[in-house]
This record gives sequence, structure tokens and C-alpha cells, in this order.
Amino acid sequence: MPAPPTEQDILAALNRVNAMLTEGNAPPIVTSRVVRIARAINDTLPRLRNLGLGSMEGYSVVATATTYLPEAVGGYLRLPREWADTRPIDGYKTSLMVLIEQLELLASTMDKILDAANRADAQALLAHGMFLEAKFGHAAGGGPDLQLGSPT
Amino acid sequence: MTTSDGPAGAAAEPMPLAPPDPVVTLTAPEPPAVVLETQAPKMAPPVSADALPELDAKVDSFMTALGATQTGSPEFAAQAENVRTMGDAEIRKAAETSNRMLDRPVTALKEGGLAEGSAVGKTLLELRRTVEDLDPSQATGAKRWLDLLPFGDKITDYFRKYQSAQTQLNGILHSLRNGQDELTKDNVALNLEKTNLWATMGRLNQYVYVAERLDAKLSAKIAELELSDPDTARTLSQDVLFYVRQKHQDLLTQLAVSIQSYLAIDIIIKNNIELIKGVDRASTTTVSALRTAVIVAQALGNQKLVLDQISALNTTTSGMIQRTSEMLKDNSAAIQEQAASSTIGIEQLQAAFANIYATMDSIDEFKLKALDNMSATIGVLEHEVDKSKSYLDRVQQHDARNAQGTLDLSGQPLN
Repeated sequence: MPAPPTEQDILAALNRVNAMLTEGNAPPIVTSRVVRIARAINDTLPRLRNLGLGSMEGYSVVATATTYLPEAVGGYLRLPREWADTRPIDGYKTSLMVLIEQLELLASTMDKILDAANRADAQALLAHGMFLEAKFGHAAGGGPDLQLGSPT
Repeated sequence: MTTSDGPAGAAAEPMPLAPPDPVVTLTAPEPPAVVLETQAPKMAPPVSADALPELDAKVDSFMTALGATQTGSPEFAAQAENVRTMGDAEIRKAAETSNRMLDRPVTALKEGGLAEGSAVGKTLLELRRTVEDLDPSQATGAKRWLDLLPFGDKITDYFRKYQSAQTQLNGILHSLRNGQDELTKDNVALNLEKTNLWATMGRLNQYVYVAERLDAKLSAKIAELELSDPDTARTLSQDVLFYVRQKHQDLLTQLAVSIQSYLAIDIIIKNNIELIKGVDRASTTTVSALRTAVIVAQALGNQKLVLDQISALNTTTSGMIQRTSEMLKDNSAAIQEQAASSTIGIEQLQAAFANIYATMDSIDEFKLKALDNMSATIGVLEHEVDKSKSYLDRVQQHDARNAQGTLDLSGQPLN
């Protein structure tokens, strides 16, 4: 059973997509969206454990870097540019528009997952806050104060 | 936090964890029945009322043109030829799709998710092996587990196995998700084929309608001419009506074959959906068993088991569990006994493993039934596609003659 992609594999995959974009002289409208997705994945990687490695979200992040993103970008770059940018292939949508839609969907999904991963970290902060409150804080509005003060 | 409040004896009777939902049941779709040609037009996409005037106009203009030509004249032959070539492109397209479709279930049978050698099949097998390796009852035997308390080294050793199986498990879980992706992609492609086939069937059904209308109008005309002009009536019957009926039959046959293909695609799609569900269940039951293992390890062995798959749980609940288990350990043997039967005992781990086995057994069972039904589907489809092949051969011969420029009616066989 092949081991799942490591963090290095994921970063390498993102670099390959970047190289594809440069080589294929992709339009900025595509590059900017890919960069946004790559950034979200990059930010999620250290928190991937928060999601649980067997989870659907964890898999989605990995698969976006290694499969979904390269396939979407590759599918567009393989087409003759002029044709891809002007010829409608799905209703009125050109290949470029179809790609942009796919990238938007990937970007918003990655953002959501990053948010969920961050939230797990934020829980720890909240828990720590509760602990500090329990140790040092005073119960606000908790009735009359029973502290007697220093005996001297 | 109730377990940490006061002595355990005073606490409410501990409630054992309820096992996860009953085992997933996967149902293999039944193979479709043979579609009879007579049923075909009713099953196919119906001819819309909007299309009717246009189709009727086509029939009328054909009848007018036919009436204006003299029987036996080149113009008459051309009109008869129109009948013979009517809908040929659609029939051929549908026949080709059906042939391709015949490959589909065969491929699905050989390489698809159902097959033993498929990626999903292999991964599930791997999962079974790995899980069997970690099985708590296999490791020490259920009875001895209790004997081993308090907390022998064997428990520590047993849970250490999890740590070494981590990479393997990660690989399997990843590969299961990959398999789901492949199945989903397969279904997207199949749905596209279905859409195309639907359009083709709609067109074929329109031709069926046209053929029926032509038959009715020609029959009426022939009956009308039979007394006044028997020769023309005979020519019309032999050179036009005969081919209209032959075409009608061809269209119905092809329509039935197309419907059969359509139903076969549906079966594959449904099989894939079931398999996706099964694989999902295999993943979740595995992860939940690992989760249980982490809790049991900490409760029984006071062993901190850190697994990648469930680190989220570790951060939030490990502290609590650790405290609980420490408390249990500090207390008397009576409490330890209770620990064994409490909510975080080895039984729960065994139940979690039983769940994985049940899921995998249910997938295996589904696969067997689905493979059976798939073979039946292919059998029916093969038989139907064979029927439409005779038509394709005929069209090919006809095409060859056309290529030679032979449009002469006298050269055509009468039957």
C-alpha cells in the first residue's frame, strides 16, 4: 500500500502547478486564483492533523494539491489558447470560464477547510482561557464576595 | 466529568457506549428485465406535443411528393429511398452507443470497483489484513484480556502495534478516498452517456412516430387504389410500405436496445454509488475503531496513544481521559474491575472492530450479488445488441451499394 502524499509531496505538487502556469504562459486571471488556492493549502498543511488524516476534509486538501488542481489547470493549458479563451464549449461558457469556475469552487472549498482547521486550534485557545479563568479569575456577578482579606 | 466526582461507587450506574449505527446495508440493484420492442416507445422519452405538427408535416409532404410522382419513375425511386434511409444516422449512432455500452458493463465487471483486482477491491483487502492484525481478540484472546488486568506489558505491546500500523492505515484511508474519487468520476462519465443516449432515444421515438403515421397513410392510400389502380397499389405496397414497415421494425429494435443500454448504465451507476457508500463506511468505522483504541489504551494501560488519524480528539479529550484512568488506577481493585466493564473497556474496542468486519463483510456480500446481477444485465444486453447487429449489417451493404451509385429500385431485393 503506497504511503499517502507527505507534506513535501503536496508542496512539490503545488510547485509543479506553478511551473505549468509559467511554462504555459497562463493568463493572470488564472494564476491569481491558483495562487489563492495554493496559499490556502499552504496555510492548512500544518493544521492538517487537526482535521484527522482519514477525514474527508484532510483528503480533499491533499487531493486538491496533487490531483484536482493540476488536472483542472492542465486541461485548460493543453488547449490552443485562442480557442480556449474564445470558443464556447458549455452553453456560452468558454474553456477559460469553465476553468475559472472550477478554480473558484476549489478556492472556496479550501478556504472553508482552512477555517475549520483554524477553528480547532482556536478551541485550544478558548479552553486555555477557561482554564485561566478557573484558576485566577473571579466569578463575575456570583453574589457577595466572601474574601476576608489579609489578617494583618 | 461525572466520573471524576467523588468515589465511583456513589456515581450513577455507568452507561455503556452505544455502538455506532447498525451495519451499513448495501443493496445490489436488480438486473433490468428484457425490454420488449412493443414496450419500447412507451418507455423511451415521449414525443412532445410541440414536435408533432412538424413530424406530421414531414409525413404529409412525403405523401404529397410520392403522390405527385409516377410509379417506377426515378423520382418515385428517390422517394422510396427516402424511406429506406430514414433515421439511419440515428439508428447507427444508437447502435454504436449500445455497442460501446456493452463494453462498459464488461469493463465494470473486469476492472470496475466490483472486481477483485480493482483499486478499491485491493485496498479493502489490505484494510482487512491490517485490521485483523490489530484485532484485540486475536492479539491476546478476549478472556485473557481481563486476566491481564491490572495493566500488563501485553497491553502496552498490543497498543504499540497501532503506532507501527499508522503509515499503513494512512495509506489505506487515502487510497479508499482515491477509490471513491474514481468511482465518482466514472459516474459522471456514465451520466453524460446517459444524457446522450436519452437524446438519441428521443429522436428514434420521433422516427417511430413518423413510421407509424406513414404506415397508416400509405395503407389507407393502397386500400383506396386497390380497386381503381391495382398496379400502383402493388408497387406502393412492395416498394414503399414494405420498407416503411421494415424501418419501423428496425427503429423499434434499436429503441429497445437503447433502453436496455440505458438501464444497464443505471445499474453501473447505482453499483458505484453503493460502493462509494460502503467505502465511506469502511473509512469511518476504521477511524472510529482507532478512536476507541486511543481511549481504551489510556484507560486500561494508561498509555498515551497518539494516532495521526485522530489527533483532533487527542487534544480535546486526552487530558480528561488521562485523569479518569489515573483515578481508576489509584483506587482499589474493585474499581479496576469496574474499569474493565465500564464505558471504556476492551469490549468497546472489540465492538468497534466487529463493526469494521461487519462493514467489510457487507461490502463483500454486496459485491457478490452485484456481480451476479451485472452478469445477468450483460447477458440481456448482449442478446439485444446482437439483434440490432443484423440491421447494421444490412445498412452497411446498402451503403456499399450507394457508394457505387446504385439507387435503382429494380436492383433492390423485395424482402
